Amino acid sequence: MDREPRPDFIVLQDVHKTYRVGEQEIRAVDGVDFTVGRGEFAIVAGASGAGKTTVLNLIGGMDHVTSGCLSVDDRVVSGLDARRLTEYRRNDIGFVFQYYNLVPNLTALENVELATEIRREHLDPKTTLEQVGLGDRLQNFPAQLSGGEQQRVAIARALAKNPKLLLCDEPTGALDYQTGKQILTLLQDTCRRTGTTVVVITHNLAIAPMADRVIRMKSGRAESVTENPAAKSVQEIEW
Amino acid sequence: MVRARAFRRDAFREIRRTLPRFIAIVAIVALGTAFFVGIKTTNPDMKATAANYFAETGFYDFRLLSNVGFTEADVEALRGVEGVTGVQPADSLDAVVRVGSSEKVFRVESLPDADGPMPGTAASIDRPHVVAGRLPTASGECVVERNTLADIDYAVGDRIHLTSGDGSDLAAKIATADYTVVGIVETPEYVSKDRGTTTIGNGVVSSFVLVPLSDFRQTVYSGVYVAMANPTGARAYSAAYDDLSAVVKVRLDALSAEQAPRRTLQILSDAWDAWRAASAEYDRSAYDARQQMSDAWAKIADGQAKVDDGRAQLAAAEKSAAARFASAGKDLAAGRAAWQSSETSYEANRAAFDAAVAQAKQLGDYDAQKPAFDARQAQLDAAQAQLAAGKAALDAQVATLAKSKRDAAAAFAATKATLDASQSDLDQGKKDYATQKADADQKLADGYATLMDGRAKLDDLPTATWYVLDRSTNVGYVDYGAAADRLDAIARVFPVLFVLVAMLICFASMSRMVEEQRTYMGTLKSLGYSRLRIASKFLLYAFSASVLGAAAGLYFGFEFFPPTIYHAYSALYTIPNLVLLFDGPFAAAALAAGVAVTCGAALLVAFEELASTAATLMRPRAPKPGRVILLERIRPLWRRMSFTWKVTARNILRYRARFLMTVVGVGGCTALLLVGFGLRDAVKTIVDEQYGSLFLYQATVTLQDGATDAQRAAVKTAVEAETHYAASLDRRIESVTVSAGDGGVSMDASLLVPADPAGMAPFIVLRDRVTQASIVLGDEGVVLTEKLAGRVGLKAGDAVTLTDADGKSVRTKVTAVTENYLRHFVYMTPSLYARLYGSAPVDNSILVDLTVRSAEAQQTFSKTVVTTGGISSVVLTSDNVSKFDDSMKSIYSIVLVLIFSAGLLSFIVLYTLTDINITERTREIATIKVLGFFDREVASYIFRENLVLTLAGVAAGLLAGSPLSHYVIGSAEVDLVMFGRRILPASFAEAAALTLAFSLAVTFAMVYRLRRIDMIEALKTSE
Repeated sequence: MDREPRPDFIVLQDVHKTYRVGEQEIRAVDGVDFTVGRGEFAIVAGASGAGKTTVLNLIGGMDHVTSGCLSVDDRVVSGLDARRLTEYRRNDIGFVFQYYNLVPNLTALENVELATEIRREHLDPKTTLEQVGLGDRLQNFPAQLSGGEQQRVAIARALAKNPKLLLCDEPTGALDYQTGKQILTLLQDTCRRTGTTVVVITHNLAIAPMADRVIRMKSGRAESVTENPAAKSVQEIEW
Repeated sequence: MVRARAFRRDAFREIRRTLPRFIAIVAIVALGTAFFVGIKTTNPDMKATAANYFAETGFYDFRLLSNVGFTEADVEALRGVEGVTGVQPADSLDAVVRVGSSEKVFRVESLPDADGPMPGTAASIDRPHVVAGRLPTASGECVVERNTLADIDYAVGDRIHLTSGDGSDLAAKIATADYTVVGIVETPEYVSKDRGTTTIGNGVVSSFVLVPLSDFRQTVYSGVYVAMANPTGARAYSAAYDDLSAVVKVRLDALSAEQAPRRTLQILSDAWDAWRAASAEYDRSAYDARQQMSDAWAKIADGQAKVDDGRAQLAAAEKSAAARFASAGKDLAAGRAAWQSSETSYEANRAAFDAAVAQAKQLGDYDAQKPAFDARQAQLDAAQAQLAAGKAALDAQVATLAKSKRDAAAAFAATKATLDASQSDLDQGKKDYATQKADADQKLADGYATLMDGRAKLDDLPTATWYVLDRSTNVGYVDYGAAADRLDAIARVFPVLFVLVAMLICFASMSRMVEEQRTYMGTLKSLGYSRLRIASKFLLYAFSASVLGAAAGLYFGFEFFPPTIYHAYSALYTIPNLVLLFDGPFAAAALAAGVAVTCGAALLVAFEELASTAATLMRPRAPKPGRVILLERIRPLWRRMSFTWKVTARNILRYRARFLMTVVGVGGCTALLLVGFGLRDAVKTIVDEQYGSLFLYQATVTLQDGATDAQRAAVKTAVEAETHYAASLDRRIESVTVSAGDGGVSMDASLLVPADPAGMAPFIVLRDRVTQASIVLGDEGVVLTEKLAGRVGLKAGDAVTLTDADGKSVRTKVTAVTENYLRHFVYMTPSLYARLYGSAPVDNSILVDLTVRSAEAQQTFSKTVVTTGGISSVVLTSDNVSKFDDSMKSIYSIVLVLIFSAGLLSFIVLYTLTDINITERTREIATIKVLGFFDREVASYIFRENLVLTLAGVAAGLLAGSPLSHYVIGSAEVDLVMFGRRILPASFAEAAALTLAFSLAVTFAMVYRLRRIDMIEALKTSE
């Protein structure tokens, strides 16, 4: 594998995110600093409430940064308005949800097309689905697919947009062990094959060895950032 | 208890959380209840209003008419009928009154005199409700009715001059022809605009005036009003009233069966007595006449005898005188002969003497003989003297005879002259006698003929017939009741729609709520709460919503709807302001129904869900699987659809309940709007079509009854001389009653006979409404107008009976039915008229077409022509149009109510459905936001479905609205007019556009909701 030092792709500098609930102020993210290199497979880990999902939301352009600087691919995301953020999500981000979030009323192919419809430089939906191993499931509805298959569709949907960055929120959280493994393999392969930067959020530190970089979150801060020059393949890890 | 309170608090918190949804349920229940209650109670409200009015004014229970009028004895007999509390004899006559530029027929009716109709009764019957001024108290005072028609508008102090209208002497019937208006009234007898028909003027009674009964000079009463005892206080239009009325009617009919023959007998015996007297009178006068004539003749004969006698005597006297004169003449002749012979002998003696003397002288013997000679001389002289004397005597005798003759002739001549004079006198007398006799004979013959005529008339004296008319024969009473009943017909349609939509809305909202609360329900269930207990939260929610909604609906339904609808009718009926009733049980039932529907929906949905185990409930519900839709199988079409449209199609067909609900709700909205606009079109069509496509003339000039030929010619000249005159058509118009002749429905109509049927088209168009094919008026039968034919139940080819105002009936065939909207007409050719009625029709009006089609031109025409003698009225089409427009404007308030309700309905439906749609798909929406959909794209992703559903609803609404509006229009129609049957294309477009506009309004309100959806939702677990 390529072990050259990678240029910083995602840069967070003293990023804060504060929610206001009535009189109370909740600091979900409280001064996070870390970077992720281009083409890296990064894992953000931490317990519930550690702020990892908020960080993912901020990187994914789903939420505004309260203070600090967040840039992706040399583009400052923290200052973008709602419309720019939408454009950013549309063109640069692929998102994989814990619960897949497929539109139940659309076939696998159509769920992918839903994403490619709005992205000019998209990949062929059918090919993408074939790449995730669902070439024979194109016309199936989500309800006719297993959890793993559904998550593959979700990944295909994210990938077909040809994003710079693939963000995954507990992609295996709703899956059994074996299926989870397959999904992680798919993500890792995708990262290696296409050079897409992948950020995976998980509470399961056992999968940390597969990542190029591991960011541990605690109480809204990045407790530690570990680079892992010799990332293992998923098959080599057991948990 | 504590738990229960917590439970309630939870339910109310739920309400606060889902306030818009809650309000939607409240609103739809309110709308449905208001509509149902509103339309349903307008009928009893209207009837109660009328019943109050009838009770307050003492509206008659029966009105008795008779072909021979009523005598005091009849009135007395009526007073004795059981159950009759009031009897009020009345008189009436129809008179022509000039109002402005035209002649109108007024019905002059009696008001009971001040001392009351019947001693001992408290109040009179049919008391006029005085709007202004007072009731008449003296002869020559009258009251008029309040603004019946726009052009009859009297004020107190105005004067009214009555004319008979048919040349008869009005003074024989009424004390004065000049009346002063002292008051303006309304009467229960005339609630609708219909005033009946008449045989004078234009055949239609325009208005009525009330004058004191004592002003009438008729010997019998023309009618009697009867009030019946009403101990139970049965109200007008109620079954109890009808029953009561039926009982008394039977008694009145019985009296009529007894009293009418008595009257017939009385009339018969009176007539016979009169005839017998006349007969005796004739005999006496005939005898006298004959006696006189014979006396006259005897005198003449006597005179003649005397003259003849005189002549005979004269002749005898002449004869004897002639004889006497003849014998006297004879004697005279004899005397003269004797004297002649004496003279001759004397001459001879004288000559002999002279000769003897001469001889003697010669002989000288003279001396000798002288003594002898002397003696002889003396002798001779004596003889000569004697002769002279004799001659004188003879001459005297001749003179005497001549004188006698002369005298006798003179006497005879005098006598003859006298006789001749007598004779000529006699001759004159004879001549006079002859003429007198001829005269007297003629007179007697005439007298005899009259007598015989009278005798013949005795054989067909009228049989007295009483007509006992109850309220069901009063046009106003029946019309008004029917109008109120028509609302019930409408009430059968609309509430169904609203209840249906309300149910759907409740189902949808409750389903959604139950869905949202699955975990909560599961938790409670696992804690051991009973199902009812758990469901009671939803029940409480539904109950509060429906009680609030139904209460609001009841309020609006009882307070707001009836006056609005009534307002539309108020232009048509003269009745005081609406009485609003509150029907407690009905309100409770409506409330219960609203609550039951809503709570039923809540319970049904909750129990269905609660059937699952607690564990199942606590797990998220498996999303409804996607399915291949039918549309997909049409590959060429599916392939050509853009991706977003495919998604839309899938989603629409996936949520079929929502699809159905939107189609019903939005369709209902469109249908309601279409009904509203259709109603407007229907009313607009009446005038537009009637005066724009069918009646093309611009003025009607009506001639007076009995206008002379010279007047007719003058009118014609005046009409044709008018500046804008284009063409004209003479016609006859008269009132007829049309029936199928089988005892079924009969309708009043105008019989219209154009002088030139072939030339009618430029003035009146006869055509089939559906095919628009023109109809030719032929001699083989009549053409009826559409509504008339429909109501009487006639179609082309049927036999029809036409009865005129005098009761004469003719029977002919219906050849065709023609499009017509206002009033009812029977069209007939002059030759058919002549054949049926035995005389050619006398034209009594002229239809005029002007070169300029404008109200101004019509006004000018009217002003110029109306002054011509012989014209009864000039009616302008523009006046008719504006008059009708005014009376129909009121219907627009109903249209407004419909538009408002429709808007509210579509708003509630679309809001609720969109709201549910959005909450149900929050996750999906958040996901596509994360995918990078712009707000606009997100909106169109969701609202494209709304648009399609709305369009489908609009289409369904337009389809369903068409028959619905026909039903409503048919139900709302009044007898005198036919509403338009065609909804204009523009109205379809308007209904569709308005519905789309409502839907757009909801969409815009919802765009904000979409924006607010947080993308973080996409990360959460399934609900």
